[in-house]
Amino acid sequence: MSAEFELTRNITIGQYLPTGSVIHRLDPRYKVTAFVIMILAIAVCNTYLGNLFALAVCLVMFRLSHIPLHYGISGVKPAVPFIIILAIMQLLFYGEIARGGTIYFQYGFVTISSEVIRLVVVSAMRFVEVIFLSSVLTLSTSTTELTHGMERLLGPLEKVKFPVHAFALIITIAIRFVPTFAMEMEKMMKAQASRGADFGTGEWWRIVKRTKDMFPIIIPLFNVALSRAEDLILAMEARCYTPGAARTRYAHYRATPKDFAAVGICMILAIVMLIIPW
Amino acid sequence: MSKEAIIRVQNVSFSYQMNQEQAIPVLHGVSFEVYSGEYLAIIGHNGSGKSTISKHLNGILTPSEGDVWVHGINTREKARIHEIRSRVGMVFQHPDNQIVATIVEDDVAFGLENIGVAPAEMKERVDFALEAVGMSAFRHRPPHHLSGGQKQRVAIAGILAMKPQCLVMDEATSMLDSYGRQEILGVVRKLHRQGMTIVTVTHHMSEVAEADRVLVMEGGQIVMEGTPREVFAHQERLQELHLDVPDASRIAHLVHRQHPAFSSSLIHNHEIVEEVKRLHIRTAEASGS
Repeated sequence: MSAEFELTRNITIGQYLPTGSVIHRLDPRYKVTAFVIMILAIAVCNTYLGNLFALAVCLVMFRLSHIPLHYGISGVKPAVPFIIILAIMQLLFYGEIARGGTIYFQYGFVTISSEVIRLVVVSAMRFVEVIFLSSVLTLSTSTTELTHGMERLLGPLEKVKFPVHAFALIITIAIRFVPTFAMEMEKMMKAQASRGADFGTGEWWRIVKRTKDMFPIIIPLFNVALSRAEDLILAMEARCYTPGAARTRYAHYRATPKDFAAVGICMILAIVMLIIPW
Repeated sequence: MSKEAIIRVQNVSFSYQMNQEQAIPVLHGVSFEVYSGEYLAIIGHNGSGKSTISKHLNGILTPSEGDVWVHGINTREKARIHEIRSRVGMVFQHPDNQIVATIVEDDVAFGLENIGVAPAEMKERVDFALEAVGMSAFRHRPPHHLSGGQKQRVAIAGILAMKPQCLVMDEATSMLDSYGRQEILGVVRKLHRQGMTIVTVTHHMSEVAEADRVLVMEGGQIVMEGTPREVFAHQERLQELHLDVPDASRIAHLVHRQHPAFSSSLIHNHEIVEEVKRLHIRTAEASGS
């Protein structure tokens, strides 16, 4: 029962695991670039062998970053129902779309062919690969580095008047306040529970009831959020923040040959993934 | 202490505009000056306008009537507001609501990024500011792993990095436990010794006792002014204003009533001890002779 209120313990945003590996020490800008290249390749690659290769690459990345594999697997676990549902849907409804190959079974609109099975297997593998890769990225990069990296990568968009800094600041503040609000919520849940409210005791399928149970928390939480925002604006203004004004940057990243090499290697891996036949 | 005023508040009135017709008047013709290098405390019970006046000191609020001058710059001059705010820094009440970044050093640098300090100098200033508040060891920590006192120290560092001449604390210790409060007071004391002008808005009378000068506010006006010793001498008047006096001062008054030889104008704990020793020696001498 007590575990229900321990929200601050379960915050997984910024699940940084500092092992100081090669991957950890990469410049976040290049790490994100390499990550995007790999994700794109995985999204396009639709061969069994290519995806096996990608899976192998993921495992190597875990090894290189000194991150125990069970972190990746625990990321996959909650996705398993979705993967299964997706697989069933594809199996049932994709016969018309993924044409070709040998047809094993046909009944009404359900067509199961070798192409459909390939699609199902490859989609499931992609899912796992993407989760593994993102785990490596988020476990080896602090949220601060990530936002810095994104900000720098989006930098060129400033030329077309995209408010890159404001965007990065929004993300930073959002991340910054997650633990604060979790703590706040914990406090409110305890306060409400001590006055007899019960949370999460309804059966899981009674979604409406369980949602309604949360109202006494959600509404005060909004209230708190707004008053905190007001304070934060004052504090930011007091420190000379002007929206849209030119600023300098504190965090400095200097790319090393290692970073270029990382992007290069990922490009080669991506190409291999795409040209592998079968 | 030189008598050069760095902030001049001249006949300031202010009302919070609720809507078109309704305005709530908060300040009525307040005038005072903050002198370079002094430690000024502003006290008053809730709703006396003490927090509102402090927000006028760096142009967060601008007066409805009257003027505030910071180093000869009127806070109404929007174009020079950065100059004003980098001279007069402000620390607020809630430790959680003034930290912007996800790690300590980034937050300290936030103000510097805003005023466009070059990266190399920024590094130097961040180091200096973290050192000054004794938080260098925590520079890579996320703020939610810090205690309230540590968060407030980070907030002070964020201000110090901008090299202000004056630090305004708007009830900066009121959300802290007594340990956190001691941390902050220690930092403030040190800064003051190094020549920083301090303006503190507080309802902790032990903090007030450390100030050079006290302003007492009531109903949007300054009703008393003087050194802490002068102000705390008017215990009855302060009680009418729903204000406390430091424990030391209360004890001194009580003892004074019984034993007129005991001085009533004590405000620090250690003064009580000294006074007791002094009288003890005197009685010992009297009984000895």
